[in-house]
Amino acid sequence: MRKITRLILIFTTLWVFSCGGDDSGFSLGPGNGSSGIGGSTAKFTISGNYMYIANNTHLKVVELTNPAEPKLVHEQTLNVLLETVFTSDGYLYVGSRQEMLIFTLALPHEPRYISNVSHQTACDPVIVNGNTAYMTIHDGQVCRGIQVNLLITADVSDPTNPIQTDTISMIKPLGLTVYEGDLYVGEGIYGLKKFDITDPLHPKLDTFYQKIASNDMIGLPDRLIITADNGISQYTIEHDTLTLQSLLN
Amino acid sequence: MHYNCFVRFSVREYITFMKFKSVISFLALMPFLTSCGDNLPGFPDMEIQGMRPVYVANEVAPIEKLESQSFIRPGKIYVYGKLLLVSEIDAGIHVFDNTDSSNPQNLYFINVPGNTDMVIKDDHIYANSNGDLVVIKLLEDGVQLTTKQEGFFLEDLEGERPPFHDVYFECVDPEKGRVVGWETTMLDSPDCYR
Repeated sequence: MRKITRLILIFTTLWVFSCGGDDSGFSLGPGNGSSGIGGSTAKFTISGNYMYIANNTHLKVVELTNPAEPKLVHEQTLNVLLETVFTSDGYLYVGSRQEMLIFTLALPHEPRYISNVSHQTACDPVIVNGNTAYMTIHDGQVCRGIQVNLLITADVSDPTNPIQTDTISMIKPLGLTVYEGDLYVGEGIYGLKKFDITDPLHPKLDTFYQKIASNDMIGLPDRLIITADNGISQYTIEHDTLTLQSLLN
Repeated sequence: MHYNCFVRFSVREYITFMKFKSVISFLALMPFLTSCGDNLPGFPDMEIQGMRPVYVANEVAPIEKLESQSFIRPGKIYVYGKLLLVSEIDAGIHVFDNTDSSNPQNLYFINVPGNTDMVIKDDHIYANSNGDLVVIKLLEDGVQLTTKQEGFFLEDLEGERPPFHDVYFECVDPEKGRVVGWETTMLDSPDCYR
């Protein structure tokens, strides 16, 4: 009899836990206080309880402990125009017009500048995959830069001393992401490039999908979401073939 | 705030000025005005690259849920669980149920004037709306604006002049509304510089 009681107790416990996630009844989001995923050109990003914002020359930190009442807890002015923010493993990577800046988030509410990778004046998003940072820079009307279109790779295994390891000429690179172990870089209206990063410090062009216009993208475990001027498309990949799942326009 | 020195008085401004100030006080100011003249970059009567204030009328459409809409200028995207959000540049946020990525459902549109960027945590969207930071709570059947921090994204005196140095700009005219940002563009004989 005691055995049966114990079994009932175990099953009840399992049942309660298995349903725990749906308590709110509203389950479109991941729940549990999590945040979502943005593209590489995002000017806002969330890490833990903090939101990091690239706003002109200002880097702002907003505390989200009370979700309905965001609180500005830190702000610093930099000498460059900030464009994108990306957090990885306790560090904040900021794309700017002149350089990629690295900040330590040892104190998450107070990013402290530690190093940079400088480049020509141009627009640039940056992402980090493991110990490697990938950034693109492109010229254009808004960017006021000289003619420069590159994919730059840097070793950030020691974030206090990033080392540029590779530069690759591009047409007009914009956003970038890692999906299924490969690096994808949007070339705007010119298409989408897939790079083999078996050697992460030296990407090798694998495929140029000239028919897939792409500005920015998000690589999820099961699909690749791409933004372009004509809409948002979602792809899966199998044996190097990208298959269109849907196009929103 | 020496950018004031670089402002060339237009005829209209001069007349307005004279309406309220006596000739004597104007003359008293002359040395200060001219002392800055040495650094003037010159105001060429031609088309030149510069910055133009982006105005928003004091009365704008409220942040609220609207019927789903098709894209005009799709911008940034954000994935939150089964939701896919797409910013409609300067207008709002499209919300899709992306449970089936081969057939996303266009649920609704959130009217957010001047929006370009957004993130989500704990079912709260943090977005920019012109110069404001807004918090929009996702509810089961819609959205609710919970917080608006006015001018959050306007740095220093951005309401009066561009947030950059060494640029020509179109002088701010308060009658056109509230300045919520600056755009780079070609200007015809600009009257302001900093």
